[in-house]
Amino acid sequence: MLSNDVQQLLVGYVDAELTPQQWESASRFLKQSAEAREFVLGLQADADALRKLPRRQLAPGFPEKVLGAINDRRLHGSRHAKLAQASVYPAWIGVAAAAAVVFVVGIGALVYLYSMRDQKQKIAVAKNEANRSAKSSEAGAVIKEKENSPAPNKEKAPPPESSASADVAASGDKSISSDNRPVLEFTTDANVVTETEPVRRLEVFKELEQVELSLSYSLRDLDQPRLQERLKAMLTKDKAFHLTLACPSTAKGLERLQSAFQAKGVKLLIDKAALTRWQKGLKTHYALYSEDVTPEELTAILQALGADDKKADSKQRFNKAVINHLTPANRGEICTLLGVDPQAKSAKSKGPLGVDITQPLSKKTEEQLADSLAGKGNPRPEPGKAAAPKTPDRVALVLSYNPVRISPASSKEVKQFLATRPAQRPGALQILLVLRGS
Amino acid sequence: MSGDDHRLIADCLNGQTAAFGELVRRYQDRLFNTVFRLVDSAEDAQDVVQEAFLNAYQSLDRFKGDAQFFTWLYRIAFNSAISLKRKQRSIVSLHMDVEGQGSVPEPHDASNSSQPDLALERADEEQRIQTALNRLSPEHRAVLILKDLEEQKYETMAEILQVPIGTIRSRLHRARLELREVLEKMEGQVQR
Repeated sequence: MLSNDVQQLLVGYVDAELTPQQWESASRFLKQSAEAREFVLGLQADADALRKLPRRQLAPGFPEKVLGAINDRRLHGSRHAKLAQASVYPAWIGVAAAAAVVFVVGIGALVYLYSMRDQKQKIAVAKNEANRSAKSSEAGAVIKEKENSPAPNKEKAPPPESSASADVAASGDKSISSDNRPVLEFTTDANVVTETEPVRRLEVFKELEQVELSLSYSLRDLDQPRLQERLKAMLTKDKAFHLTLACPSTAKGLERLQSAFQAKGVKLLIDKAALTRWQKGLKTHYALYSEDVTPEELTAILQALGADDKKADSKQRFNKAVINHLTPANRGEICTLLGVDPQAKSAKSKGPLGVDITQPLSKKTEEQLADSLAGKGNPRPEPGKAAAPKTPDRVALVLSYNPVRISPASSKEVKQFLATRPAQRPGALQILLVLRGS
Repeated sequence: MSGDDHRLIADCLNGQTAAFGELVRRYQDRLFNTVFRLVDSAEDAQDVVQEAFLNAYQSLDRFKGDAQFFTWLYRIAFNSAISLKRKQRSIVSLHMDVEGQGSVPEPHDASNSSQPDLALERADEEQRIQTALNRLSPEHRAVLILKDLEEQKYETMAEILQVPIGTIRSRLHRARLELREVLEKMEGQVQR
């Protein structure tokens, strides 16, 4: 059997593709090996057979057919034709045109995005205005219980009453209010409180333009005369303020606030839902609303809290206090919390002694009698002593701020606060104090 | 490259399409015969040759002239033919379909008409060799056709097929052995 190398050498021999040395060695090998000779004869016979294959020829007219195809397909073989066919513009023109298109599209997109942003801002401002005017128109209206009030001892989000809550409903998450706070719903005699936790969010500085006017400090530093003067100066500049106090334990913080306000003759009227959360120690941010505190009283309250802070446990301290002028957004918040705009004129006509003439006399008497029996009414004069001069109770309302209560209309305390609050004294401040956990 | 080819190509590049007609006339039969043995179909071979000429015409300005025009033309035609054959490989019949040759132009051999027996014998032999060729891979078939039919040197074959000379050498070795084996098998089948 011939090796592969020998076979390849002999193939080269048949093809006449050998060097003289290879030719010589192939010839020598062929003389010696009969097998090699037979192998070469076989290859030569095959090659001869292939060479003897008849020559095929194309039918006449093939060149004309090819030229016809060239014309039909409009092919160009000449340099001139190709040059004529080539673009009259240099290649860089295309690149420049593409770059110009990209640039124009980019600028257009930028302009469009800016205009969209402005439009969105305008829509947001318009919505705020609409909300505010809608709430103002509700002022003084008789607060009705919701027709579809939920079953007793159960809490669930009711159908949205305001456009804000309508937005929430539209967003599909009924447990979140328009300003991203979870909402609470209470029945008139709610005993069960949703143990929803406040949502982490920034509750301060809603409007950036007010930031420069805000006063931020630690209550413990209020013993510094310079800071006291700044606080007083700020409180005398306006009639409405938004305060934010941060305290690790809002339950303890509310306790301390209650003491401080009571020391200045301001009683805290706590909404039942907020009260339940407070008593249970649930994580809650509280809102305190008052219209009957003077700048001096507020300063004193804050000073007292600051003084207490130094003694208090770290969990009870008010780490931060921020005071802002009440912004339109804050007023909107107050409207949301109370269900009405407290500054709008009441539709309820009252008599000269604060008697609601829309209510039957028997009902007023009934309420007074109930309050008296509960020890809430004016103290009865002791026998033989003249009655003490009547001083109207100053009340501040406390509500759950986060989770927010979305149906203040059903709160007895809110109704009571709105119904019994006296006309705002001259010099008294309208304040919304938010106590939030830190 | 021959001086005539050079002049005709220059004329083509100067816009004289008729000069390309002359080039076609000069190489058409040689190319057709080679391609026909490769694809074993007159129609396919004619299409391949026509496309090869059209591609060559379009790319004429890229022809550098450092090789023969015919080598360059063969390269184009062989690439097309081998691609076509690879596509058809799955449907290639091992037996020659004599009836299917109806559209194939008959061999233009004047001597056949005067000697009918010899013509018949040659036709049988052609069929036998073509059948054996058809059993080889397109690459092996190509080297055998180029070497034995076209009598090209290894170097030119390497240029046409765009492979190294060593590959041509080994490919031819395997192709010849394979052809030998196929022909022997066919002879054995006939004797039985």
